[in-house]
Amino acid sequence: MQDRKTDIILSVGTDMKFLPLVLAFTESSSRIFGLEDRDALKLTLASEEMFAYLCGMTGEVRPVTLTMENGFYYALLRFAFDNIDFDPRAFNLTANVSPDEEGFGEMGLLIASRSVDRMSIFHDPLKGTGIDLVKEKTYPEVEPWKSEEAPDREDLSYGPPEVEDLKMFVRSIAGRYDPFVYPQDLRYPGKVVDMVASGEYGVLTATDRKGRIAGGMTWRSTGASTIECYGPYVFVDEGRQDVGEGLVSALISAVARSEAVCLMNRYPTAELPPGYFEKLGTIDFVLKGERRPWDFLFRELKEDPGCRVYAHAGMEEFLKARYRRHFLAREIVPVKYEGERQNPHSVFGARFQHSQDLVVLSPLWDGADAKENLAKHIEVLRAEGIANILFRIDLGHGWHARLYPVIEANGFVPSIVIPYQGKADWLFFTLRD
Amino acid sequence: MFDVPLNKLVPEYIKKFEAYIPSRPDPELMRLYKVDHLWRLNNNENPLGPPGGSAQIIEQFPPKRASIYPSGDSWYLRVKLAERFDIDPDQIVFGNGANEAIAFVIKAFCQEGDNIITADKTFAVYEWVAEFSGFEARLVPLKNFGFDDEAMLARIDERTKVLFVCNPNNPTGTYWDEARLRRFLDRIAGRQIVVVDEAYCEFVEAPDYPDAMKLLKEYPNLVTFRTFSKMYGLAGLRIGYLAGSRDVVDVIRRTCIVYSVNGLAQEAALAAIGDDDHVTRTRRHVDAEKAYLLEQLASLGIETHAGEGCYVMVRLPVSDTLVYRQLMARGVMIRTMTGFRFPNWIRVSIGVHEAMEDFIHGLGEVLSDREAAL
Repeated sequence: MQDRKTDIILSVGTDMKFLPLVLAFTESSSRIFGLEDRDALKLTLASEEMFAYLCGMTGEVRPVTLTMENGFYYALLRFAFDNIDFDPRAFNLTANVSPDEEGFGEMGLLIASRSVDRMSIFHDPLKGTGIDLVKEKTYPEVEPWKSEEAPDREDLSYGPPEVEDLKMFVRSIAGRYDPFVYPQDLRYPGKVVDMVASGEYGVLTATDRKGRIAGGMTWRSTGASTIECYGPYVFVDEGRQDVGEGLVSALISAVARSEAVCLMNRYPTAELPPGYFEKLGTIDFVLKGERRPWDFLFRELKEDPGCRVYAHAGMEEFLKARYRRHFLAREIVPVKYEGERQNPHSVFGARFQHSQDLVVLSPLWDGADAKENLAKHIEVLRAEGIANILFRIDLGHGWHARLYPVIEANGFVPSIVIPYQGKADWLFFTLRD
Repeated sequence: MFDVPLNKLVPEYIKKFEAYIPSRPDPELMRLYKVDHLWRLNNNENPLGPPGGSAQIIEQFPPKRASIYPSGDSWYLRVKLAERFDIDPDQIVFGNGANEAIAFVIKAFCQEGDNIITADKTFAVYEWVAEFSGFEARLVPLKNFGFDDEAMLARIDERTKVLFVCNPNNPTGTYWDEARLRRFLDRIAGRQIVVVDEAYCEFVEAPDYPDAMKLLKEYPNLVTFRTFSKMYGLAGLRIGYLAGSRDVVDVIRRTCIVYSVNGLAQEAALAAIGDDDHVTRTRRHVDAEKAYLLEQLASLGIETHAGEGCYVMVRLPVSDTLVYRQLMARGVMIRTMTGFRFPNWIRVSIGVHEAMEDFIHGLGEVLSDREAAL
């Protein structure tokens, strides 16, 4: 893994007189980290929108720290505030720069999100409060490849491939598999090489005695407690299930002693052996206008110690049924709103994943206006043409669970529980058809 | 109330760590899994408990003694063990369980850029302590379930400081015989520290099984770990020790935490030393129950692997972590082996007969109900 301690940092106040400095900072550091002109300019445009928006929102001048991180295959620009220094309301996707402006098109965060590949709003005791904007580099697309001679399936050795073998592995996936069983990242061999170099992606391949690649798997961390894996991708003609099982076993062994608690498989293939994963459920996704089922496959990497989760009565039966089905020991603590004082304003986080036409909303602050605020978020996202909108709560937070009537009133239904993704399990809601 | 600015107070390298969360106490687990009993078949504890002399010490421990500091370096224990093994008391260091001894050794010999070598599928603490301390753990794949001596030797470089051999290996139960261990030590020729972890040595009756204590005089770079947690049933008191040559142990002692072994543990361990009758009874129990377990598992058509030690490995057709939860819901706690890099295997400790029966019954039910598995 290459050294990532090359972050470039700029601290300024939320005052438009600093805008030229912010733009120069973003553009220069984007280029230093390898973004091409077009991508650097898009990120610079996003930073302009974001900074102007923040200046408009804060009223008085507040300190803001811009950090440009080198992710090797992307540049990440972070706008961060200390929690104690900033009014969180500004981080609602739906917050207007000026109440006089009309229409959703003038919403600063939304404009910024259009110019980048990923955007997320965070509020965390360790990271503070802020927004991450991610612009990925542009890479040439894969040229699918299929070897005429099938590799052997015996005496395979498993391990991380060298750079050129890694590219060949990626080309072989494209040559043998439907694009729906591998993530978009794998359409760009150079990108995968950079992702592995950054430590974000893991790859292991099975090679025969002649060094030919018989198959492989890839994975990445999607948080402190979860690793997401893809495959197995198998390139032999016979004994495909055996090679698949060898790959899955090798992958689990590779991550078994990591800090991750769960292993998910987002893109299973026909060679995924039975008995290694549990199916948590299915969500229908819309991609390029086509509805496709998305199975949530999971296994724990550690022994489940059980935990306490909070649940509103409206979702309790759903949770009980899921926990019973998966033998998950959970102490369900009932919660509801009982007239206690509330902050007037709520805040929802939004995580954009443009490649999947997906936004995941999650609660950041409770507030009396939560129902209307969430409705506005959905309206904005629909107007933006986002096909897949999920809502996610952490069942380890009582106030998240207490929001159930708000979530339900906005057309969401509970769909999937994923263990130990946050303080406790995450519950995903999907919009009713 | 103040907001604590944790993002400023916490160092970056600490932000990257995740806290290790040990499993919850039994009553908590029983409450969560809604069971009225829990067979602990996960930690290789001795189902017969501690030897009689130790049990008596524990029962009669005067509460007032709890206010008195113990011997800071387990003096009487070291003297008694030294006599038993014919070594000097200063060749022995005690720790709060053998895990602490692992940390003592790594801390004593490794500095930035150094590495240790061990197997990929063995007791995890060698690897964990090394990695958490910032040292590389070079992991050598097992060969036929056993430590691969040649492959370990091949991984040595000028920055290798310590090699860890678990003998017999937890979890596979394989062991190096004396000739093989000697060959290995001869090839190392004193250039690195070789730790032979003998946590389960008292369970092994094979005549060719080596006694590392007897090899200390010939190999000054050899360090052996022993524990009172397994055969002597004192796991709850946390007491273990290491022994090596005087020079090597003098260095290790510099990293030790004194007073880390409590007084009750020291007295109970003192009473356990030399109780050969307890050892014999435990061995007979383990032999009988292991035979029963293997026979029953064979009748269920399940693959097993068993060597030395008070445990058996079982290969499942489904996820071990799922079966853990399913068995917990039936009052049986086993050890999943994903963490040992044996996915879909479990390790079952030898317990009392009723526990073995409940395990077999529960596993049979679990495997016939596979709705949750893919």
